Amino acid sequence: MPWSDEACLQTMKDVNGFIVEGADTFLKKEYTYLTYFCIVFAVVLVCAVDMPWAENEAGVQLLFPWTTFAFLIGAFTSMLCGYIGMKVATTANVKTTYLCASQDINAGFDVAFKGGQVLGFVLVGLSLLVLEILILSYKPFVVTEKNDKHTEEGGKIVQQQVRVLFEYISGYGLGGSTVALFGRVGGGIYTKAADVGADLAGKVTHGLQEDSPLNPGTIADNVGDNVGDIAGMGADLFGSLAESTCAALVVSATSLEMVNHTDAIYFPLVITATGVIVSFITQWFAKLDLKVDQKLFY
Amino acid sequence: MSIANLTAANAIQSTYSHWIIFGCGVFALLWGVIQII
Repeated sequence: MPWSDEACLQTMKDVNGFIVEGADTFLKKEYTYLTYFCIVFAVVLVCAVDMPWAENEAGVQLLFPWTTFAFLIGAFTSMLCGYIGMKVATTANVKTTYLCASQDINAGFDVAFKGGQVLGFVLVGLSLLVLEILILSYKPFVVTEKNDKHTEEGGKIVQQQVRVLFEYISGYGLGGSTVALFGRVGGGIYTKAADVGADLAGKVTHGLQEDSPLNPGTIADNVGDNVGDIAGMGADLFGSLAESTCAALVVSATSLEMVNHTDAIYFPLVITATGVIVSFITQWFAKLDLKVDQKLFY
Repeated sequence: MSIANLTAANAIQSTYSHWIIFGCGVFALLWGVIQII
């Protein structure tokens, strides 16, 4: 059957519709349970880490659970990154398949590459902006020592408050990693179960081919690939980026030299920001120029 | 700058880093959205 045939196109759209529906349902269910977990974990953080009823290390009582708030923001942003990646991927998948089969593999590569770029750029952009906004909005509440008299003791208190500020901010990385853990493992277990189930039921029992559209397990396998390898990986990438940046900020805030030269504190974030520009430039060089005989597809 | 001059106003108050981070963050978001279109 030629790929330009209406019936063939309709089949492709139908299969994609099942995958999109399945991935949406899985992700909504997973994120619902994850939200419950995050709420319970937030209560633990308030009681064990923030303790807003007590004075913090800098000797100030802050009546707000700063770490927990950063944790919840990180968890939400991580979920958002995973969801955006999954939505874009399920749309790009079918377009890539169609273009590779009906036109040429180069056109398909362009669409697939652009689909990947959406997740990459949006993830880094969100991570940078949310982290920067968190730091700037926490600062007036946490770094309160004015040190008007310019004493050495006052300066040390300011430095300690800066260190405490970045310890609060590290909750952001924790939130991202928590969601990444569930996204990666949950999706991975689901796709493996669907893959084994599809093989056992389809290939062994009914003698169907690998990834046969007649096997419902194939749809479940593809849904698992999308939620585990794309949504889970998106959350995982976000978690790694946020966690490594927060760790660098916490470590650098312990150094008097770094706090004194404030641009040095932001160096990890500036490195990530520069990565955006480098990625933007290099993506123009990613081209595929293959000659494939289209008859191979029929 | 010595430690005595460190105040709440000038602590982590970067001059140009904020602009680089904000600029690149917004650019990355915009470029990602443009790819969807």
